[in-house]
Amino acid sequence: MASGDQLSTQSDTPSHSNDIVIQVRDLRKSYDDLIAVDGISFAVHQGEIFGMLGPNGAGKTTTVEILEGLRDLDSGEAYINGLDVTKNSKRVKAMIGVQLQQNAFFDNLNLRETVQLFATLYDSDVDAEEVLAKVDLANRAKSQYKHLSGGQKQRLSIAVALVNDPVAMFLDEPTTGLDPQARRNMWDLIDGLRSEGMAIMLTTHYMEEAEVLCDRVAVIDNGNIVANDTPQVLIDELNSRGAESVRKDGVLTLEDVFIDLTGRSLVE
Amino acid sequence: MQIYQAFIIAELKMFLRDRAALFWTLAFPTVMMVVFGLFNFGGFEPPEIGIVDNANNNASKVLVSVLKGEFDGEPLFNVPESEAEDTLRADILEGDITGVMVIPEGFGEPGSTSVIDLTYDGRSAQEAEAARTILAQVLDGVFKTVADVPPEYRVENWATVSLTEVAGRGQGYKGFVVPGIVSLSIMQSALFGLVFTLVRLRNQGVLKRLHATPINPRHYLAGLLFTRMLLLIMQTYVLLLVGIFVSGVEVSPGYAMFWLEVIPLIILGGFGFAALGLAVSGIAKTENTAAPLANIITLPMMFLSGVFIPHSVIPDWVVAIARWLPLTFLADAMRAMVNSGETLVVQGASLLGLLVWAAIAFVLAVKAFRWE
Repeated sequence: MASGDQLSTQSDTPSHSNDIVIQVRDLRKSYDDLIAVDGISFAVHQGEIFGMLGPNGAGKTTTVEILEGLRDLDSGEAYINGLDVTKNSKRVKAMIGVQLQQNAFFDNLNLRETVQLFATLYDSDVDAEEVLAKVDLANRAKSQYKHLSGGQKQRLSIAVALVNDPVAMFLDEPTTGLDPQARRNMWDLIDGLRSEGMAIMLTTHYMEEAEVLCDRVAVIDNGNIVANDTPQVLIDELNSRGAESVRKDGVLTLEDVFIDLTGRSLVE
Repeated sequence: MQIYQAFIIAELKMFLRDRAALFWTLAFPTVMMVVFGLFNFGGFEPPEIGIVDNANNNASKVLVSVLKGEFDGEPLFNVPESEAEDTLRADILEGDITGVMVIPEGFGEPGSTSVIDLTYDGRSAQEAEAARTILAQVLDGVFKTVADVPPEYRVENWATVSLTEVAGRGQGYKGFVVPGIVSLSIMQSALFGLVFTLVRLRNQGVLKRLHATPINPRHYLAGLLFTRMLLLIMQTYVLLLVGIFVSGVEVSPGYAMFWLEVIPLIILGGFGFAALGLAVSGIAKTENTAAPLANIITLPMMFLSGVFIPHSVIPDWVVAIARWLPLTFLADAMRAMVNSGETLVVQGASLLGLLVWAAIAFVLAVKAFRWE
């Protein structure tokens, strides 16, 4: 295929770059009249947490769900470990970990049963207790899903995403709706996953979350990536232009970056 | 194979833990069966009485045509075609008709008193009593219209009715309604069970999460359908036992293999309705649209498929359409097996009908299925 040939001549193609796990090029996706993703490109490396920061409806979830094999793309290319997600959806699904935005499991199954069931679906013989221990849910192994708190449900979804020892992990707004304490726990958990070497891509509309967790942040607005760098570089660039902070203490944050780039505040 | 197994085990666990669903699956049809068993819809219909005319004279012909309603159009008896006494007596024992009346030779001739014998199924005593009353009134009328009976004769001196009771298999309306409700419950449990499970799981996002794993829809749906079939078999057994011990109906008299032969019938019927449920769940976006859609499909069948309303009280042109409905096929086969102890193999026509419906529903289900 023409596009494949063209791709292999470029320097950062999956086959030429050892540590790129997720590769997206000029991705486009529309629903009827609405342009959800309008030609975005990025790459996520091994052992990196890559954040997509943007308001609701910016195209974050659409992008992630295309990579997860849940949606078709209109045009562009998306690869995971060098596999085209549109042509190898089953193989791609088998090697990634997924936490959906609206995550849910069977109400009447307990946590051990849930992890075991999903392990079977991924053809993995992982030990359910061990996986639950990783997300600090070992003591709830016999509780049914419906009895969990919001934070526990999110941690279970991480556990389930880990059963197949994935090369890439997709977390779609992992802390939305959680209380501050549960959010901190979740951050610790995600931070710990980075050390396992997988590429982690998360979406969020929390500035602080992106600043705390992400090695690199793509600011996405109206289906376009308007900036893509480390949080510090984004802030420093803004600082060098002499911008003012919205905060009383005058310290520039990602929020100021966002306002500067899009002309509006992220959290209404 | 491991994946199928894992889903079947998970589904079974979930179903057994959902006590409320388990309860309602059985409670609702049980209540329906018991309540309908109290009614006697059979009383509104003309009794089914075979007629053997051994006299074959003017008087007997007038009597028979009055009973058949050939004068004013309203039949007083529902008269089967056969006129052979042996066949009709066998039909009573099988429970197919309520009784047989034999008009003796020399009926209506002056100077003697003819005795009309009415042999009836002891289980249908009410219907037989109604038949005797009708017969007595008709004889009075016939007596007055038949010209060559002298006017001084009283009807009692001319003809009387004698009753003979035999033990047949007629089970009246109860016998009709128990297999009907059993069939109805298979439809309701299969169709609504699938619709609500799938719509809820889809709205919660569970199906989407399954879609994110490397499985195919059939991996998940096979477990769901398998569990539902087990439930349908269990539910049918429980409801038939309720029919036996609460409604006092005899189930498949003298043919114990029924309890095994009914399983393929349950699975064939249940699979079709489950597939229909799958199709509905794919078409409906939310629980709010799924319920009316499922009701539009099931309600007409509830009333037109001969479940608790006999086809004999429904206009012929409606029956001509209703006999092709899947629930009609299921209820007909179920009733024949439960009431008369017929075997599964002689239900060929109904089974073929169910098979065609299952195939149609399966195609619809495959087209309509959505993960999200």
